[in-house]
Amino acid sequence: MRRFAPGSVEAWVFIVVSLVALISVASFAGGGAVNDGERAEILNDQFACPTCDGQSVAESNAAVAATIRQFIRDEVAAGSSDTEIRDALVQSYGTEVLLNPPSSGVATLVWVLPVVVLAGGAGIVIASLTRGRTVAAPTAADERLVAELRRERD
Amino acid sequence: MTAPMEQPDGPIPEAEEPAATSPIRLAAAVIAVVVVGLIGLLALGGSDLGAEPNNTLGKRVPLVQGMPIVPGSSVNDVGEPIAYSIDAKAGEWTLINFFATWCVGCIVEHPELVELEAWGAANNLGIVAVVFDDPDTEAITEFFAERGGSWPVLRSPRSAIDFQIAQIPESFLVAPSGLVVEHYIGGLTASEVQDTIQELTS
Amino acid sequence: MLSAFGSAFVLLGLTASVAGMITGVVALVRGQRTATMIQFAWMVPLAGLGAFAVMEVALFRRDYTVSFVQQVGSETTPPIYNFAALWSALEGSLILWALVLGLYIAAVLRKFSDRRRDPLFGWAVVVLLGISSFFFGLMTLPANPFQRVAVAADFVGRGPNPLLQDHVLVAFHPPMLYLGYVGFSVPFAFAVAALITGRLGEGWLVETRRWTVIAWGFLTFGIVLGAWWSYEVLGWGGYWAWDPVENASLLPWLTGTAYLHSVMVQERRGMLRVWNLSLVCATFALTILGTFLTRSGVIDSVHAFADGEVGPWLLTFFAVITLGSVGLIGWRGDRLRSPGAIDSPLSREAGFLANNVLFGAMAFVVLLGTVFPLLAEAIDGSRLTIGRPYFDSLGRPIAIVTLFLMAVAPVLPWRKASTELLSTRLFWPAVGAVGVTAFAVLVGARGFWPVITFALAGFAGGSALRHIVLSVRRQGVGGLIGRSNGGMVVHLGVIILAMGVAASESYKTDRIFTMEPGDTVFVEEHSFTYEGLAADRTSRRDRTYARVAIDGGQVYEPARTRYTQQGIVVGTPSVRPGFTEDLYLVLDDVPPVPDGPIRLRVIVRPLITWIWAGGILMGLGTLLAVIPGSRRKTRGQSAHEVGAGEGTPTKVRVSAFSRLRGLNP
Repeated sequence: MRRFAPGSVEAWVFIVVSLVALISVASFAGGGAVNDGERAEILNDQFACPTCDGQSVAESNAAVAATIRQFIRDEVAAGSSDTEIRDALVQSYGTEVLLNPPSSGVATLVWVLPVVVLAGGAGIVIASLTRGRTVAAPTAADERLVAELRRERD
Repeated sequence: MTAPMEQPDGPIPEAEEPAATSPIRLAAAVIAVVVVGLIGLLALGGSDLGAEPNNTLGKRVPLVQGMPIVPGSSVNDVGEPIAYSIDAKAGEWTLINFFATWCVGCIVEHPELVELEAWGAANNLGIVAVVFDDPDTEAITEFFAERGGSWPVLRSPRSAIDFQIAQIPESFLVAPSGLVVEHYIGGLTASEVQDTIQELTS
Repeated sequence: MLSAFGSAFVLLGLTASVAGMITGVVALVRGQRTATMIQFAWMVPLAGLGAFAVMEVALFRRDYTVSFVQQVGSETTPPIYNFAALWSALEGSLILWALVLGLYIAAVLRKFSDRRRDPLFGWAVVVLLGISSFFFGLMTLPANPFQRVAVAADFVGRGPNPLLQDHVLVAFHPPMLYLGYVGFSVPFAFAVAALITGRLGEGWLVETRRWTVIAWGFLTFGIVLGAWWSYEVLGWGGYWAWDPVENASLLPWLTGTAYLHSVMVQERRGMLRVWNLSLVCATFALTILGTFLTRSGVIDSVHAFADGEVGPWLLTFFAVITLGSVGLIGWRGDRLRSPGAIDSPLSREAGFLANNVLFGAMAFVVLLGTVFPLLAEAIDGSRLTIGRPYFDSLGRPIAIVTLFLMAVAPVLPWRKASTELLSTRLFWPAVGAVGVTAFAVLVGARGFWPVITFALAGFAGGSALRHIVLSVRRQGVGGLIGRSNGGMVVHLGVIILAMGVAASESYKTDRIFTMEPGDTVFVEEHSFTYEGLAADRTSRRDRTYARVAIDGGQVYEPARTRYTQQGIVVGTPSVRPGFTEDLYLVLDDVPPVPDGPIRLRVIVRPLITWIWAGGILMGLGTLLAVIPGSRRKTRGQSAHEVGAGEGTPTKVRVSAFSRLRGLNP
């Protein structure tokens, strides 16, 4: 029992292994669409209802959403690929029908910019961390400034 | 990790730098530019991103075809149902009507269509109905038995997408040339269709 | 009569704000006393209260000579919705805004009544009066609620938008949101005052700490109530549509949350001064941007409350605030140098920094996604929609990392942690993660995103519980109050909410049925029997509802309601809430013939009540966090002094924290 004492390396290995195992079992067991109905449901989430300002086809109660749902159901049953369904809808309703902006043209920016900002932010934080470790001992000028500031404050 | 630093607690100004290149000022300037851009965008943008007119208008009619589902509505000489295709109707006026039995507006509109069918027989106008989001074929058959009308009724789910149907009843008038010339939303009257046809043929 | 009284109060508010601002600036520049300004400032809450009271009286007396009452008043609106009608349209909601701002000004004046000679306080009041000038100005010029109008002899009031008289949450959601939005004016005012006076230490920040927490709590509660309202009323089975107006309320929440965390780094270590000032200014500016997006109609939204006339005014105000703040920060930039540095990535300050990167990134994603359709159209005319899949695919990873951070950061000590320490402190939370995951998988949870959410929720929940248990063991009930303890209760709320979101999004079932009376359908092992259609009718509305028995028992009544005065039909869902799942019924269409088939939409969403519960817990945690904790007493030193960064040895400062975490039992 001692080997599995709280905080021991063995206990941590056990925790990490069981978490990885559980999550991978759950992901592989449930991942992806297994039947036409589920595939249609996944597709319904990807398209905007053309008359309802950004609600998806799956969410909207509008008749046009019902039509597109029906269309997707039929196309899925007929064995069309996701791309074919997508192209057909874009052909009719324009690119606005895609809730997920395409990854081409100007829309690429909407995907790239967040990554740039996140990387930039993380970069600044890491830079400040490394800077912290290499700060030199305070110089005479620093000491003088500190003394001045402290005098000012008192 | 690294050795602890000799650093007195509390604020220590960093080594002096020329104020002009202060990173804070640089960042402030960059942010100001971004903000001005955003404000400009919000002030000038926002042209109506709302509904566009139906984009089939003025174009060649998308393909509408299928087997009629209401018995007796479109048959050959020996009473067998024949497949409908809009391509075979070139040279005729065609009214494509999208409807469903659950749609109140369609019930109101139906007598007008019946009237048009009678008028159309002598005026080179045919009607075709496309079922919109209504799986109950029996109810559709009853609907026609009860309210009249013997034009072909199709299931053509693709058509609702091609014509961007949003709110039935909706109908499209197709000229003999195959161009979509009119779009009726929310119920039509026989006379407005007749007027359009007469206006365009004269 | 009433319109004259109301206009008088609005004018009083405007005059007092402008006069107070001018006398204040003059006095502060000359170094004189600001007594006149303070007298003027006291008139602002008076004017706000007066305008609010007059409008409520006008609504209840159905005085249609008042323009706003003509717009939203009606004989038949029930009292609670009639009261809430004040904020059901633009002009009235400005009155609410002015009232809330007036109350905050009064609170500031009272709280700091012993600091009248302090220029920091003086400038803060000037800024607050500037904000109130703007809102009272809106009410006098482009959006006057008290305009005197003629009443036609046969005039019948139409009442508020039917969606706003359908559920009692309407009475609470907007006021909460406004208390949050407007509350951020106070820290903003002090931040600007600090920039103007050049007193950029930790003073302003400590003064406004509790105000910020309170504003944040209201905003959080307001957003959750809004989501709840949307779920109960709008009938699409969801609660959050990534609609521009929803995004607009989320933006200040994200930056405000980032600020609440990074502020602690500055208090403790004196670092991140520019960053914190920027976050405060950004938060306030984003509340104005949100109001602009809601009211200008520049971006399509299902929240159809747009009113074009105030749009340019709000945008101008937003420009003044953002450019003014950026200018001030740039001007004071040199005094704002960060005095310290971070010692180790395994430290609490590094944890807070990582939190800020995540929240900042999320705020950026939300802002970009909201305005990108405009940007794309401006660049090359392409028309795009940015919707749920976009926000989901970028938001999910950010949320996951945030949950991980929520587990690790609270156990980190300041400055530097050892791996042994982490191993000890994180052990039981990690066991919690395994337990929660195993349980979730056992009861059928599948898929990567939801399961990893449950795992990290268990981890973070364990970490928060560990903190709470240790501090309660040490201090009894006192271990629940104070900022860090209350904060951990808020964390628990977030975790419960996150599990609710993950489960209800990932495992929802949505089916549509055409049913005739007597038909029964089955969804997720529940039976739904359609018993027939019924109607009830009042002078206000015709309600047609389907009687649907769930599992052969209780009958639920999803309805379509026609509001006679507006002629608008609204679908009203019927919900059977539950701890494990909600059953949500929507009547999609009323049949044209009395016994015809109905179209019934049945949605099953697991754990959705956890979202509301989590939101309520977050509100409760905020309350606990603003009650002064006992930490201060045991340290014998005020946080103010510590924040000023005097040379107290680190060990002494951290000791209270260390004991809290059971480092030296």
